Amino acid sequence: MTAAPPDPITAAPAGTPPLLAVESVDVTLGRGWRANRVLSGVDLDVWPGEIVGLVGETGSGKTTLARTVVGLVNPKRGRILLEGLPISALRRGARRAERRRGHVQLVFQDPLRSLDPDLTVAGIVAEGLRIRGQTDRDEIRRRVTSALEQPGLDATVLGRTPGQISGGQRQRVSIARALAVEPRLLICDEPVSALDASTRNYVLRLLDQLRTSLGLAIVVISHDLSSLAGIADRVVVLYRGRIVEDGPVDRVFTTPRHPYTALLMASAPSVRHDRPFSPRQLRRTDSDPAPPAGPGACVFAARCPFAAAVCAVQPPLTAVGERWSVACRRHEEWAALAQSATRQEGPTHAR
Amino acid sequence: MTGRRPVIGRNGSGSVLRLPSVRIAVGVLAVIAILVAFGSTLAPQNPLAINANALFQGPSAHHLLGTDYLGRDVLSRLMAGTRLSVLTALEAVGIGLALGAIPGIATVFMGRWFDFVINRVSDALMTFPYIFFVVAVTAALGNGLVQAMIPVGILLAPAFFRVTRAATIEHARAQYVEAAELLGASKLHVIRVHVLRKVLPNIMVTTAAMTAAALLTVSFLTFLGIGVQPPTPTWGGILSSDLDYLSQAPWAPFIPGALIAVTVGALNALADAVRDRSGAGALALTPLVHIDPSLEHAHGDRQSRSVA
Amino acid sequence: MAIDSRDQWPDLAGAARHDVVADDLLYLDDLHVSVHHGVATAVRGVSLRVRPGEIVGLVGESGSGKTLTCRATLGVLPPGCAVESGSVSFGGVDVTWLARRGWERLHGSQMGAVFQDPASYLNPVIAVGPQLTEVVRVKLRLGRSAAHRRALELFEAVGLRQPERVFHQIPAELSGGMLQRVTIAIAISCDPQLLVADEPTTALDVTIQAEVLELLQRLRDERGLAVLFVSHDLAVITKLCDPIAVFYAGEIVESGPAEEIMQRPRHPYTQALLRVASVGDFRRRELAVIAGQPPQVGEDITGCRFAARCPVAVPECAAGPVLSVPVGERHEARCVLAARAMVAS
Repeated sequence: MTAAPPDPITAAPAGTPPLLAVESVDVTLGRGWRANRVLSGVDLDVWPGEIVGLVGETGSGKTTLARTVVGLVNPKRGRILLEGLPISALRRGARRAERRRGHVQLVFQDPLRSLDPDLTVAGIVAEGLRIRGQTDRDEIRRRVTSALEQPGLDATVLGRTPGQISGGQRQRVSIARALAVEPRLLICDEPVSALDASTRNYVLRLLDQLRTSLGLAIVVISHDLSSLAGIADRVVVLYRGRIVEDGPVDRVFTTPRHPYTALLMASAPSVRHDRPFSPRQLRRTDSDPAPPAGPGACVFAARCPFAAAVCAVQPPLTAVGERWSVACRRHEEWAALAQSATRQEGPTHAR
Repeated sequence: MTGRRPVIGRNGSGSVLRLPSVRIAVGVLAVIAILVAFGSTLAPQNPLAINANALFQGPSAHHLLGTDYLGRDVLSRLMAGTRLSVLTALEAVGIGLALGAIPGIATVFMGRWFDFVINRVSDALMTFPYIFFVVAVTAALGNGLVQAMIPVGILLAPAFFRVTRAATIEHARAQYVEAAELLGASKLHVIRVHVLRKVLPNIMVTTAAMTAAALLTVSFLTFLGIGVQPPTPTWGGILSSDLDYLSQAPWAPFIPGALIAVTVGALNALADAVRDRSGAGALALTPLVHIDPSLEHAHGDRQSRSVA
Repeated sequence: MAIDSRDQWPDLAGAARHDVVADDLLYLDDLHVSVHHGVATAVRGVSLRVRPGEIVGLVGESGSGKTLTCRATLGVLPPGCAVESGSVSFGGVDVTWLARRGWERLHGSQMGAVFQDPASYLNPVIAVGPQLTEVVRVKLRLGRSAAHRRALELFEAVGLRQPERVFHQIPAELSGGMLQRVTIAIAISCDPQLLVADEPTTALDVTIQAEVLELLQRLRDERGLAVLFVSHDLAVITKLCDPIAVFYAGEIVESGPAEEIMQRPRHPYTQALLRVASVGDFRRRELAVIAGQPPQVGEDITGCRFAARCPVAVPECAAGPVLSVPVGERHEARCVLAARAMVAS
C-alpha cells in the first residue's frame, strides 16, 4: 500500500485481478407485492488505484449498488468479490470478521445522519479501532490523529461533536473515520453534494490525493458530472438498475456511445458551444415509433428516440474500445440519426 | 477553522432543573425519599399507639394532622407508612423495568421471529386483569405487599417494553449504526455505544410515569385490604379506613388522598419535563433543507439537494 | 484615493447610470435587510432591476443574501428579518412597506413564486388539479368548469403529458420534475408578469432540470414572462439567465450580461467562482478552490467584503465602502481595482 500505483489511465496490465468484482448482481428491495427490482445484471470491476465515477439519476440504483458492495444489502443473484473472496456470501460472524479487517469502507452521503451526534470526533474516528479490539490509548490517539490529518483536519476538532463543526468538516470526519481502518477500497456516496463549490473541489482533490498517496481505489457516486470529470479515471453510467456505459471518463464524456449518456451530457448546463448534441435531439417525440415494451426489452427503450425492433431484447455490455463498453444495440447508428435534420426540432419535454 | 454556533444543540438534563415545576417536583420527591428512609424514626409519635381518649381529633399542637378512629396520630402513621408504600411501588417498577426494557432493546436486534413472539407475549400480558392476578399470586405466595407487587410489576413490563422498543427501533436504523456495522461492530457494541444513551431518556420518562401508576396501585390494593395486615400503616390503607368513618371525621380522607396525589403529581411533572427536554434534544436532527441559510449559516454548507 | 462619489466616474458611452425606468417590472434600490431582529444585516445595498421578458439570475453561495433578496421581493421575509432601508418597486409602485392586503393582491396576479422542494409546498393529501383550480377560482373568480379547463391548459403549457390524468393525482404519485411543473403551473395560473424562482431545479435530476429550464425559456418567449431566478449553480444561471448578478456576503459584487461576465469577469470573486464552478467543463483537470471562508452573515467589515480572500487586494480595498462602478455596457463591478482600471483606460 505504500508503493505508488501505476498511472490509472493506462492502469493495471491485462490480467491483473481486480480489487473489486461485482458479478451479475441482481438486487430486489421490498417484499411481496412491493418488491422492486433495483439492480439487474450489474457487472463491475474496480482495480487498485482507480477512481471510478458512478453516475445515475433518481432510480438508477447507484446508492443501492454502493450498499450492496459493502454488504448492507444482500444481492438476490450474483456475487461480490473482494480480492477474489466472495464477501456477499459471508454471514454474521464471518462477515463481521471480514468487516473488521476494514478492506472496504463507505462514506455516506449525509454526514449529519452518518455521524453519531452524541459522540465526539475522536470517538467517531476511533470507533473502528476499538471494534477491532485496540485498547492502547496512545496507539488509538496516534492513529486517530493521523487519520484526521489526511483530510486536513487538526486536533482542534477532536473534542467537538458533529453539531459543532461545519458541513465540510463533517464530511471530512466521515472520510477520516473510513481511513482510520486503512481500507483498500473507498466508496463515497455523493460525498460533495451538500457542499459549496469551493469546498466541493477541495474534498474531491483530497480524494484524488488519497488515491495517489495511499494507493486506494475509490468509487465516487455523483450526479454532478463535471466535478467528477475532474478526478475520475473511469465513469460508469447507471440507468434504472443497469449499467449502460462504462469507459474512460474523457472519452465517454466527449463522445458518449449510449444515447442516455449523451442525453446526460447534453442536459448538463454548460457554456461550451461546441457540444455535439442538444437535449432536444435526444428526447423521444410522439412521432417516433412506439418503442418495444415488455420485461425483456432494453431498459432505456421507453425513453429512447432511437429504439427499434432489435431493442426488444436487453443488450449486453459490448466492448467498443479499450476498456470501454456500452449496452446498446444501435450504438453505431444512433449518432447519425440524431444529427439528421428532422431531429433538430425536438421536444422540450420527454414525458 | 473558527468555532461556529452549533447547528444542532445538545440539551443536557442539567437545564431541566431550571423549570419551577421541576424544582417543586424534585423537592416533593426529596421529602418523600427522606420519609422512606427515616419515616419511622422521624415520626413524632408511635404510629401504632392507640389512645382511646383521643379519637377523631382535629389538628392540634400535639397531633399536627389529628388522630384517627383509634386515636393514633395520623401524621406519624403517614410518615411510617411511606416506606412500605413507596418501596413496594418501586419494587413493582423495578420488576417492570427489568422485564420490559431489556427485551425492548434486545428484540430490535434479535430478528423478526423473536420480535413477533415477544410482542404477542407483551400483548397478552396487557390484557390481564391485574386484580385477579394479584389475588392469585398472594393466594399462592402469601398475603404480603411485597408478594402482591410482583404481579403488578410483571404487568407493568409491557409498557416499558413498547416504549423502549419504539425508541430503539428509531435509533437502530440510523446511518451511524450502519456505519458501525460496516466497521464490524457486534450488536452489543452498537447497543452500548449508540443506542443505550439515546433510549435512556425514554426509559426515564416511562419509569417516572410508571412509578406514579404503581403508587396508585399500591394504594388501591391496600385500600382493598390486599397485601397488608392491620395495623401496618400504608397510605391506601389509611385512606380506606378513613372512608369507613367518613361521618365522624369528614376531613380525614383528604389527608392521605392529598399525599398520594401530590406524590403522583410530582412524578408525572418530572416525567413530562424530562420528556419535553429529551424530545427537543438529541433526536432533533433537523435536515438542512429547512434551515434558512441566511439565518443559520455554517461555512461549507449549502442548501441541501434532496436526492430521492 | 478611494472613489466615494458617483460624480467622479467618467461617463462611459453606453454605460448610462439610470434611475427607475418607467417600464421596469421590478426595481430594488439599495435594499438592506436585517436578520435576527435587527442584529445583523444580511443584505447590504442590493440594487437590481428586472425588465419585462427578462430572465434575471442571482447567483451566490449559501448565506450570500440572494434568497433573502428574493423573499424581500415577494414580501415574505422569514420571522426576525426586516427591510431596514432601501426600496422594492413593482411596476413603478413602491411596495416595500406594503400591508398584507396589498401583497395578497400582488401575489398570483402580478407575481408568482416557485421554490426548491415542490413536495413541501403542495398539500400532500389533495390532488394537484384541485390545488390549482382553487387558486384560479379565488383569484380570477372562475367557475368550476372554467377553472378545470384552465388547469388542463396550464398543465399542457408546462409540458405535462396527459394533463387530465395528472389533474387527479396527489403529489406522492408524481415525480420531482412533474411536481415542479405543477408548481410552475400554479404560479403562472393568473398570468403574472414576474415569476420568482428560488433554486427551482436544485433538487431535480439533470435531464429533468434541462427540461424545466427550457420550459422557463419557452414561457418567457410565449408569454413574455419575466423571471427572477436564484441559484448557487453558476452553470445553470449562465445557461438560462441574462443579465445576471453575483452575490457575495450580502452584496452584489458584479452584475451584467451573462456572456459579458463569463468572458470578462471584472470582480476577483467572479473570476474565482468561474475557476471553481465547473461551468460545463468535462475534462480531467486540476480542481480550483477559493482559499478562506466567507464572512459571517452580517459581519461588519470596513471596505470590500471579499478583500480578506482576494488574491489581488490592495490596502485601499479595506479603506472604506466600495461602490459599484460601471465597467462595460450595463456591466458593473464592486471593486476598487476594476474602478481604477476604468479610470485609467
